[in-house]
Amino acid sequence: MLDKNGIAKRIAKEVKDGYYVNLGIGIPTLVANFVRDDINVEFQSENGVLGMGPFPFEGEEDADIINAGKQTITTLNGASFFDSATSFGMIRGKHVDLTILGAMEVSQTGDIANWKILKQNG
Amino acid sequence: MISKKVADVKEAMKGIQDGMTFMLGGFGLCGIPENAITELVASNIKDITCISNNAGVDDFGLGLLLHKHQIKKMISSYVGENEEFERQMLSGELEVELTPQGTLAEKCRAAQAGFPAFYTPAGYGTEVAEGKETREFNGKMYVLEEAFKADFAFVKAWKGDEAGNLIFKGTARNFNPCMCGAATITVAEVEELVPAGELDPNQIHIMEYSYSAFFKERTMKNVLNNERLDRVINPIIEFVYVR
Repeated sequence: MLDKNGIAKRIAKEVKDGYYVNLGIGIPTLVANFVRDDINVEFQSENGVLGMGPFPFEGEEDADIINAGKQTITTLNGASFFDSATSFGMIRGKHVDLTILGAMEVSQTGDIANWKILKQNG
Repeated sequence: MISKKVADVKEAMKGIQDGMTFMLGGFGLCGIPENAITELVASNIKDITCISNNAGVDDFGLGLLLHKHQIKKMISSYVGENEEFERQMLSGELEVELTPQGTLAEKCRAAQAGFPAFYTPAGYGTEVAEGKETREFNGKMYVLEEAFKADFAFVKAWKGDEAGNLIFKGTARNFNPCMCGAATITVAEVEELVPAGELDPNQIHIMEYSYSAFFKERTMKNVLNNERLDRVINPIIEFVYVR
């Protein structure tokens, strides 16, 4: 069985050159560590940043610049910040090529229970 | 220039009443209107409904209002990392309406822009869509979501001018711009207040028309890898509010 980093490493293979990639909370944020460095990708975070960089060095953290998992991050050249409605407009408007989600449960057919345990029917 | 300054936090928040619905900006502990929350706690206002992406943590943000049982209902997308929230939700003391995050943001933006409702594919076929109108567009199903109705919106910005223009910093922007003008009264707190004319009009994120009130307050930068930073960036200079 793969550990967290193993899962992230495998997912990283799905990231292709020229992709805008949304990263969710948890294992998804680890994926950035394993993306090939000979391709150009930009990471989007739902809380309003496109062009996320690596974690900051100690002492260089900015409490106003975080990822979806509330960890401080850095930004790369060309990065931008935007509000939450714009951020989800990017996602729901299909302007992001790939989204990597943390899920609570996934079915064989790809349905996910992610944000709440659904009530039992009847 | 129409000045939006008010004398102090009390004046900015004049009119808050039990049972009202409030919007509060912020994602995690980033960009939350912490001074407005402090005032809400001190006011002992009760039975309030809060529209906010998160519910704070146990000892900061909306967690402070939860601890005093001032919140009747929370409308949020993510409510982890808060034991008191969990306890109140499971015991039935707190009513919770979980809303997909993009829908939450859009319900604010719709209220801000004067749209009564909008269709979105998020939540179709799930509990989110129960009791809501659905409709097919181009072979895909959508759910009709209604704009929020709120009495006050409390937002946090980085820089503001006396006219009420605002600039946000980094990811502290999040829900704040979507909530400006989305409630009957908007109250903004800023880290730095400058005279009108000092902010470049090309760089302004939210225009003054949205505003009812704003003030400058001490701010505490708060999230560093989930640990609160007790570093005060700006000392208290003055209260300059708007209403």
